[in-house]
Amino acid sequence: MKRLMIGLLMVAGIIGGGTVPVRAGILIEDYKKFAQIPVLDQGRVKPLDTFARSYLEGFNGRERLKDMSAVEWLAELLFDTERAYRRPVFNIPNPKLVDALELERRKKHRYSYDEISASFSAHFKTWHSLFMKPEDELSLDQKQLLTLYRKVQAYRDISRSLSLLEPEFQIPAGRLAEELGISPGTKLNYTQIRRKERWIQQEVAAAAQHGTDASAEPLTAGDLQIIGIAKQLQSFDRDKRNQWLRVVPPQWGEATNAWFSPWGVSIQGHGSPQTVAFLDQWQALWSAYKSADNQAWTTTAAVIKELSLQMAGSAVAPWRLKLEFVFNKWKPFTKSLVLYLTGFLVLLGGYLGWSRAMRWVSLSLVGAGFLIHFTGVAARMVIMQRPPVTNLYASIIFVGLVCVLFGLVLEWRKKTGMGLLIAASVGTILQFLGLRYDADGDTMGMLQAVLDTNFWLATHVVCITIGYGCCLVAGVIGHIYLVQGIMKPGNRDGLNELNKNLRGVSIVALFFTALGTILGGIWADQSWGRFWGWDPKENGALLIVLWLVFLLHGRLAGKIGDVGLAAGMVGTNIVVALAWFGVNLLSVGLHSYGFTENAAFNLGLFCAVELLFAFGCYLALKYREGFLRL
Amino acid sequence: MKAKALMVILVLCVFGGAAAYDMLFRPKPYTHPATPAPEPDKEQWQPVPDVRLTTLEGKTVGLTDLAGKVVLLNFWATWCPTCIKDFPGMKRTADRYNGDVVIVALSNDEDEQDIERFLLKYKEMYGQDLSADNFIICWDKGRNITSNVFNTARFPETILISRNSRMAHKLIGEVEWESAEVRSVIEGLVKSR
Repeated sequence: MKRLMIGLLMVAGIIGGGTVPVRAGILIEDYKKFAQIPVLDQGRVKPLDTFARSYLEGFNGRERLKDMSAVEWLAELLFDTERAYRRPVFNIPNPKLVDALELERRKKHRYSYDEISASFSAHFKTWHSLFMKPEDELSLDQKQLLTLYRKVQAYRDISRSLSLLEPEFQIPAGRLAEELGISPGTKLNYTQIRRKERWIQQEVAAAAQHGTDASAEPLTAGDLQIIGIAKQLQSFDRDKRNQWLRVVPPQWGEATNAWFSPWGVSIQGHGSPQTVAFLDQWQALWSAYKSADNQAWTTTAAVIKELSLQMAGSAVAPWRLKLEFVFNKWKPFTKSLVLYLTGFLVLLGGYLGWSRAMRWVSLSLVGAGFLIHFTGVAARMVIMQRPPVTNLYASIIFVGLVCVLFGLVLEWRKKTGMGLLIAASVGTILQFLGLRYDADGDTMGMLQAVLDTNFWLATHVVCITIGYGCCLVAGVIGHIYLVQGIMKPGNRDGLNELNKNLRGVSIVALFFTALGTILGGIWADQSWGRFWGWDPKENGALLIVLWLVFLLHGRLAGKIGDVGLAAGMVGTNIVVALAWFGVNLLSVGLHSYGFTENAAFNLGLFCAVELLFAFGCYLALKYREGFLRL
Repeated sequence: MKAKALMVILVLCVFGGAAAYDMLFRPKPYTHPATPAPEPDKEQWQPVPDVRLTTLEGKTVGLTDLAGKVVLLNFWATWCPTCIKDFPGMKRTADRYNGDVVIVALSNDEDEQDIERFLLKYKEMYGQDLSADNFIICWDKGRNITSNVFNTARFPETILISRNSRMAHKLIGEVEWESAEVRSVIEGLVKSR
């Protein structure tokens, strides 16, 4: 009981010791309501918190800056743009890009918008022709430069999402002030001055006519002022196409997933009396931020959130937004990673002494990690209204969950520490890998059209990923067998037991991968009109099945011995890795929806290390036995 | 034997659960944003703001004063060719319903005289008199109502207001007034009491 208590206390320490909110150093303190304002982005309605996190991660490589959270950064970008432009947000890890932009090399690789955009402007003529080329003709560095350029443009566009509400027009004394019926010096925003846009255009046209007629009076100071305002109005032309911050729900029977940006709603004709009230609140939020009025900020953000939900009607479930906000804040997968890792280290420590107590502590940690991991997967399913696996990231997280569950079940049945070792090690590795993929942006993005079916996602995809998980567990048991075979060759009972487990897990893996592959064929028949098309992903799935069939039949027929089976199972990891990640790297075929860059090297390294390990151990064991028999 | 039965039950549960999940939570398909909903959710229609508009004769008319009729609130300007192109079809639509449909055409011109000149020219060109009981032309001086009340900047735009003064639809840009889609929407509003 004492041991269990120690374990639980450690778990509580890890879970409780979450991120401490760090203030931005500016005057607004509470971003909770602002973070929960709904926005449509990448095809789904999400809280601003997720929007901010995914874009900041895209620019910076991290979900938060050193001294501010993602929503704090977003608020600064929207309401205090000049300051945000000076903040070193962009991550440029490639020194060649830094040199090409004529920036100074920095240890942390972070640069501000002002620095990068100035450099792009200076070299635009040189690079313009480069950016016009098809992407497959560009080198890796050039592609990265193009990506950076696009990011800089996106950063600028996000910052201008609310520019129609900023009072940027100072109206001088003269005809325009009289026309508008306001006192000179008053500052107006775009929505206020656009009422006179037509009049301004007519005045400018008259002045231009004036200028071409030699006998006419020269342009007056009033004419020049109006021309200045017209120029300023022209500078908003690009903003008018701004579609980034889609915070305005549809009002006129449009599709429930067609939300509009403040510019979109004003310029493209989707406005209504409700959107006037809604944008007035955004204007009030802008004022509250500028005047650092915390109370007004919180109240207005809450009003905006409520208004938005009211306008969206039944299309948006407020509790789902809240759940996503809590999910983002709580970071279940980071917490489970910490618990698995700690559990793994404690278990390793147990091999040095106090093994029983340490195993209990490790079990508590891994068990708690599993519960949090499971809660995270379930929360994602509820938020997305989808089965657990929808993209490559989700498959990593789900396979991790399957492996940990398998490990814990093995531990419960055998109580040898092996299941715990599998759960902690594979859980740690896959959660870590998941965090790396997390950096690609919103991990709950909408699905490719071909995947847009809950039935097949819940059957074929889940079966295949459970199969991947079982294969990995079998692979880890293979590793343990080979290591034990070398370290403790006399422990025949232990090795036999391991071999028995290996065969059992392999059969389960074969069941799920074979079933998943057949279901995939049926789905392909429904979607593409053919059961099998030798697509790389299909070939990958088939390869796993054939490899497992080869190993198991070889073992049954006596052609493969225990050591051969163990080494072969290590090889299963390679086959799974190639089918799981390798296919996406090829970027060909109908299944290349999970394409990721720069992963080829890591995949190659993994395969090489596994191959080396399997062959090395196999040869070592066979050398010891004195003969080479498969 | 027990284990086999358990495996079969497990597989059946996975498939049954997935089928039920698919049926219950299938995401709604995407529809074109500008398509008017065939069966609009009347509960969500917002009441039209009680604004006072000034006709060319200097009279004031409130949008809520027209309750009992279907109102086509049209935002236009004499300098907008598409707006003018829309008028004949819009007028014919109003005429078809014998006074049940009223057009309120809110001009965004800078100068009221531009509207008067336009009306004379329009009569010559189309042989259609827009100064009728079912066609009320108003002037939005300073574009306060268009911009500040209705958040409208793209011309033409037409808001369809139901008999109980609720804003049912918005038609953005040029409208095919004779199209079956638009006719069914207007007929639906005329029929609903």
